[in-house]
This record gives sequence, C-alpha cells and structure tokens, in this order.
Amino acid sequence: MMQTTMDLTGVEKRFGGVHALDGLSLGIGPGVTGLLGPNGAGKTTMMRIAATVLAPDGGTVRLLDRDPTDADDRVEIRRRLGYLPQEPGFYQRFTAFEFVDYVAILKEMSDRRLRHEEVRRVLDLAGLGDVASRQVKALSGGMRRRLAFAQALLRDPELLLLDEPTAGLDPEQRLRFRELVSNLPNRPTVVLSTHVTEDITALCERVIVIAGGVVRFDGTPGTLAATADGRVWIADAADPRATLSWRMGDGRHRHIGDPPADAETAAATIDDAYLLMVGEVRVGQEVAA
Amino acid sequence: MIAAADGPPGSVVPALSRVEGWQLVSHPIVLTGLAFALLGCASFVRALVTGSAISWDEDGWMASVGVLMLGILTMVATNHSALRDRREHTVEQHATLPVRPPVRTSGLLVASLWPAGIAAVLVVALAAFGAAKGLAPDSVELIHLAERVVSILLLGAIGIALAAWVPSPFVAPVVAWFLFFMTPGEAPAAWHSLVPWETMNSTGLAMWHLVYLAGLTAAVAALALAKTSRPRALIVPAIASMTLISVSAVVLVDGACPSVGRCLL
Repeated sequence: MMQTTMDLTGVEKRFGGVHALDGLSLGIGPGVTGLLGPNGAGKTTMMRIAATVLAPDGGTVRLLDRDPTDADDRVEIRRRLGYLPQEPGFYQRFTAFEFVDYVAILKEMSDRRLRHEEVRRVLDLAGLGDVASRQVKALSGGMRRRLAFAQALLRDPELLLLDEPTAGLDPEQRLRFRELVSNLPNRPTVVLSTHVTEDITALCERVIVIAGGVVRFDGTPGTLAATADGRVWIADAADPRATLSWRMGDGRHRHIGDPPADAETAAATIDDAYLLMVGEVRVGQEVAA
Repeated sequence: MIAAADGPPGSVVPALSRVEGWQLVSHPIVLTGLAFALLGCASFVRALVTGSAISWDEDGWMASVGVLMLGILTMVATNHSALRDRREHTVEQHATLPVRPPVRTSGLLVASLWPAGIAAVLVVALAAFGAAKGLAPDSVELIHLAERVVSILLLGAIGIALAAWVPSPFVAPVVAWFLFFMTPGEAPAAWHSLVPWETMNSTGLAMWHLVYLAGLTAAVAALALAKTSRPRALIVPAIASMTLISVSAVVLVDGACPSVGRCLL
C-alpha cells in the first residue's frame, strides 16, 4: 500500500453557491506530484485546505498522519509543512534576510545562531545569498518569488505545498527551480500546483488533473500524454471538427479531438492530453447546463 | 532533517521581541519621536549649562513633552507593526506557521521595551547631568520621570490593542492626535490623562500613580491578547491589573483630590 502524507476523502468546499471542491478524494505520498487544472478548478482551494488555513465543509482530511481539525495536531502539522501561496506577501521594509529570519522564528526556531545558519542555507538554495541584505521592496518579481520559495524550505518540510511556484520566473530561474526541487533532501512530499506543463513533465512522477472540483485524471505524466494518443493530427488548414486547433510556426495546423480517417496523426504531448481532457469536461458541463 | 523546535513556544517571544524591537526603534515614526525627545532634553540641558535652570518643574517640562511624544509615536508604530500582516497580505501565509497569534502579540508587546529603554537611558542621563549641575531631581521628580518611561509601554500596548480590535491604519493616528491634545488633563486627577495628578507632592502618591500606570499597561496588554487568546488564560492577568488600577485609583483620588467629581473629569 502506498505511503501517503496527505489524504483527502470526499472533501467539499463551497464559496457562496459555488462548489470549489465537490467530493474530492486523493492521497499523495513522498515525491513530486503535479496538480493541473484550469482556473477555478479547485486547485488553490485544495492547497489552502492542505496548508491548514481553510477548513473543508465536508469530507475528511489527514495530513502527515494527523487530524488538522485538532488544535494540537494542527500545530504539529504546521511544524512539518512548507507553503508557497499563489500570491505570496512580503514585509517590504524588511531585508530578504530579515524576512526569512522572521518566518524562521514563526517556525519556532528560537536559537539565533542555528536560525541564522538555516536562513542563510535556504537563501543560498534559492539563489538569493547575494541579495540577502537588500530590502524586499528593492527585489525584482522573480527574486521575490524565490524569496517566497526560500521561506517555504525552512526546516526541510516533510510536506511542501507549492502553488504556481514558477509564475514570473525567467527560463533560467525556472530551470534552477526544477534542479532545486528535484534535489530536495529526504524525499519530501511535494505538491506542485501549476499551469506550466513543462514543469510537470520535467519534475513530477505523478500528475493529478482537477476540474470542476473533482479528480479527472491521476497517473504518471507519460500516461496522461498517452490518453491523447491518436487524437492529435496535423493538417494544412484548420479543421472545424477538432476540439481545439491552432496554427503553428510553420503555417500548418495542429488539431486535437477525434481525427478524420485520413488524418496525419502526431505524437501526443502532455499539453495535448490536458487540453483534450479539460476541453471535454467543459463541453460536458455546457451540455449538462 | 533540521532539528524540531528549539524550545517551548514561549521561547519564541524573546526572539520575536528582538526582531520587532529593532524594527520599532528603526521605524521612521519612532525615530521622529526620538528626535522630539532629544530636542526636549536638549532644551533642558541648555538651561542647565547656561545656569538658567531653576527647577525640574519649571525647566524640565520640555523634556517630559518630548518623551511623551516618543510614547505617542511609539503607539502609532506598534499599531503599524501589528497591522503589518494585513497591510502586506501575509495573514494566510503566516497562519500556516506553528507560532500562534497570542505568542506573536506577546512578542510585539515586549518589543515596546526597546523605545521605553531608550527613553529610560535618556531620562537617567538627564537626571545624572542635572545632579552634576547641582539640580538633582528629588524623589517625586524621579518617579515622574519613571512614569514617562512606563507611559511608553502603556502607549505601545494601546497601539497593539487598537490593531487587534479596530484593525484600521487610520485609528492610531487619530488616537495619537487626541492623546496629545488631552494631555496633560485639565483636572488634577483626570483618569484619562497620562500625566495626571500634577498636584501630587508626596513620594507615596507619586509611587501609587506609577502603580496605576503599570496596572493600565497590564490591562491594555491583556486586552490586546484577548482577541486571540483563550479567555481562561487571561483571567488572572485581567483580575490582577484591574485590582492594581482600582486600588491605586482609590488611593490617588483620596490623597490628591479635594472633590472626587471635579478630579475625575
């Protein structure tokens, strides 16, 4: 049986009349798991529930083998959790070092020497060692993103929740991020919510597609790509029968959907599979409506 | 893995107060207050140096007002610090960390010791300089100087309590304005005044006024913590502070006021 760090069973969450999560069930264990889904699919809601800042309306949640509804368990979970929110905030007047140091104190690191060593370690990991004494307000958007990542790495969390960690990073920073996540010590459970499918392909051993508040796919990136095998074709002109199509750089059109009999099929990518899956969910919802 | 917690959650308070204290005393608002305090002290030093100083009452009031300004601006700064998470959108981010809100509030309350400590150094230096120039403060005047320092702690706690109960950045500046213009109070024992009971001329009454301010400080600190603490944890501090306030107020009014009604308003 798979060892799980995060177990959600039948989790529901409503905001007014909107069902953000509609009986979501999943179990995630050590390694990097990617969460894919369109905007409003419920990814961030799930991440916030896993980060113990949002309580579900229904269902059960267990994190690190503890119950987050119990106050003492919740504190213990938070000790072992790292969280990078979708829109991280910063203390603008603090330096990068002071900001991470402050978070380290809130992670109960009261010994000044040990704490400062740990702060320097995570700043170096995030590639911010050289700008540690710079005020946060003077850092670029990419640097701030990395600063938010650095604070999430404090004390080597066993459960690391990263909500769109590569948003705003340039290609080089994105590669460094991948290198960093893939080299995290002690094989923590990393949940990576993203729209960047390249990050999923490059980093994740498992991918979960969420749409409409439920799990639509759960498997490896390779299996996800395989769901679109035979459903991607290339043609000289746009084909109205395609679920989605776009003009490529060479002037030809790439289509996904149910191909005509004489179509020139192409190898499917994770992007194709994801777009096909989400497109079909949307069409299904429109039909139901 | 990095070691788990270094110590019990309470041990986080000193670490937090060091960081918050440094942020407070390097805050432009507190630095402005410090400039007022230095200016007030400089005026008294000048009077001492030129030999024109007659008494602490006659010539030291500028120093008192300066330190009071430091206290009032400390209140604005502690309020600003306590509202930092709201302002910088880090409420949710920091809610995922194990240190609970009352511990953070405690750290900020203790951080008020930093500006109070600076004020203490200033008034001790001033008293020493006065003594060297042949104008040593008497015991009542010394206690009044200590009151200014305790007032900074009280005002710092007020800033934090305001942030807890009325979390708006506009409230503390308005309260600061109000406090500055109602201090000192018109009546000799006005309950709301930070520098009341000017008619006190005995060491005993001055000491009781110090106790009164300390009680107020403890009560306001408990009020600041009440927003996020378990009510049971605050029963003893609340009762203790209310007892201090009540007993000292009764003694003061009885000792300093010929007419209670006139004194309190």
